[in-house]
Amino acid sequence: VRDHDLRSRLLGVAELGERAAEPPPVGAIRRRGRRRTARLATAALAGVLAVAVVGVAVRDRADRDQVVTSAGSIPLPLVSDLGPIVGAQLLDADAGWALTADRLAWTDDGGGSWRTITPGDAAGLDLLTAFFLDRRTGWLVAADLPEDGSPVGLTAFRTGDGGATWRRSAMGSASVQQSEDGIGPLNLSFVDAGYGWLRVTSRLPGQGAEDETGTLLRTSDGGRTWERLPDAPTPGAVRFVDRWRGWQGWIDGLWETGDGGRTWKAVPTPPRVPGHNRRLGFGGLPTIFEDGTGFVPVLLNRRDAGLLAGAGFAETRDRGATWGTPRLAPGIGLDSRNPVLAVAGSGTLLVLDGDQRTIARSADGGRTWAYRRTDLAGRGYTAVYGMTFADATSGWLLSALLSGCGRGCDSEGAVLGTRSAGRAWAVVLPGR
Amino acid sequence: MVSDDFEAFYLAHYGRLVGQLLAMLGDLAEAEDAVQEAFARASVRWRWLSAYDAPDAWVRRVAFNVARNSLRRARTRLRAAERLPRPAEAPAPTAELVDVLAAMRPLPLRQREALVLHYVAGLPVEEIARQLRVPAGTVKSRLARGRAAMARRLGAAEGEEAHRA
Repeated sequence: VRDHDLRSRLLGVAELGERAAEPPPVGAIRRRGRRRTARLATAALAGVLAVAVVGVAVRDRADRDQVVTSAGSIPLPLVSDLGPIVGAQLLDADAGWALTADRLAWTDDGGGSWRTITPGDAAGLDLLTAFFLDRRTGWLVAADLPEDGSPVGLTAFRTGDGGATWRRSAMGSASVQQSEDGIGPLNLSFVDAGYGWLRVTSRLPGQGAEDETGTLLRTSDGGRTWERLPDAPTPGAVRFVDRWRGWQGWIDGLWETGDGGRTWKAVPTPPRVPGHNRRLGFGGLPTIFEDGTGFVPVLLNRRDAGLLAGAGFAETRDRGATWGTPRLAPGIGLDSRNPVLAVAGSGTLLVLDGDQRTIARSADGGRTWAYRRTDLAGRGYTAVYGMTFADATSGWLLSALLSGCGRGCDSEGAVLGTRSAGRAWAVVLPGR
Repeated sequence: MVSDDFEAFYLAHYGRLVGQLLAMLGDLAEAEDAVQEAFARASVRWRWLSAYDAPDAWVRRVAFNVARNSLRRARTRLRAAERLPRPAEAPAPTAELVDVLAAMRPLPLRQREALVLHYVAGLPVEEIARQLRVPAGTVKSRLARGRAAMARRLGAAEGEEAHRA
């Protein structure tokens, strides 16, 4: 059975259904929609009342003025929703961690060797996500996940000695959405040793993916206690630059908060790129440096079929209050596959093209770009979840599926590392 | 008579979506139910949904999610996916279409989704990946496995036909 035969046969079935379909009166559809909305509103209210909110009140807003941090430049962990490696974070050129469902592994030599630092108390729990501020201070979130996605108690583990010892605390409950292929994406981030946020993709039983919400928990005492904030506007990942200011990214949009995640508003799209009459969207979360400058990935989308027409970065000089006209990496992002964008700790911008053959690098905020061929092409890493660079040359990339593999293909993945600004990549942690 | 934008949108896309869901589910009644639920959700969001470039893509995603969730629930109850696709008022499918439905039905749901979105809805791999929220490589893998399974099953069915003839 050839490809076009299969297409015509499936189209035949669809035409049969199209001929047989009899749409009910639109009034009946509208009534069904209204009834469902009323049902969900009741369920949501009951859920909010039932949630055990653990925690202390947020510290007084008066300390807002005292906060001067640059946590928005700490690399966020790379997150995969397709195991076995569900997350990885490169802290500097040598140190980093990788997380599987039952093991937190640490490396001090860029991935040359690994040791397990999993908390003993976490045995039997599903390890969901982690975050380290530096080589010593880190957190891990775990739960005994039920299969039906019903709300479950989350447990936070915190360490101040690089994982040698851990303390645990209850975080309250949340519904953790599990993807078909594994655990749904969560993200944890801290701006200092006290303030941190956990974002969980949640949905009520019976709801679909379009009803997913971003459950937000926040700690102000280093993870000892957590409070539940109002749901974020989307299920996307969050990043904070200080205790109050942060962003959430979802599809091609960006939202910002100035009150620690209680309220959010959409960030206006950056100005159009001259010569490109395409729909512009955000392609990730901002990175903000000490001096208030920073970058956010942007993507140009073709209106038809959602394919890309370009990729680059917009720059801010006021800690993300406003964004300038994006600067694109010419010739990148024209493939049907998404490019992968990263901002290195040094401010270097990097874009790995969708075909993985080329990596573009800019050291002047995207004004000029240097292109290098990578050694990734043809190696079968067809899905890249993200790329992170600790400095201009050392980075990790969380991948991937091997195309054309047989049974068990879905369980393969790997952390790849580079010390050559993305030109040469080696597997530092295989996914099996 | 069409009274507003939503009604026009609903009437224009209802049948096509039912066709796509039928190809995935093999059951017309379930396909219609999933599509009706998706349009019901769209009706209460129409004010902002109508500003989308392609609101039908949103409805399709919701319909597929509804179908997927209802199938998961049904598995524990009555194996709905194994019902014969013979709704009372539907046109009788040809023997060839029955073979296609029979070949599709045993495939894992995720493979059926990928096949329908690619071959019936005509979506490129990247768009399917966005809709299903999985990496493009996963979509390719599901398509490859689904294609191979369909080729085996349809080949076997044709072999039997030839043998009977």
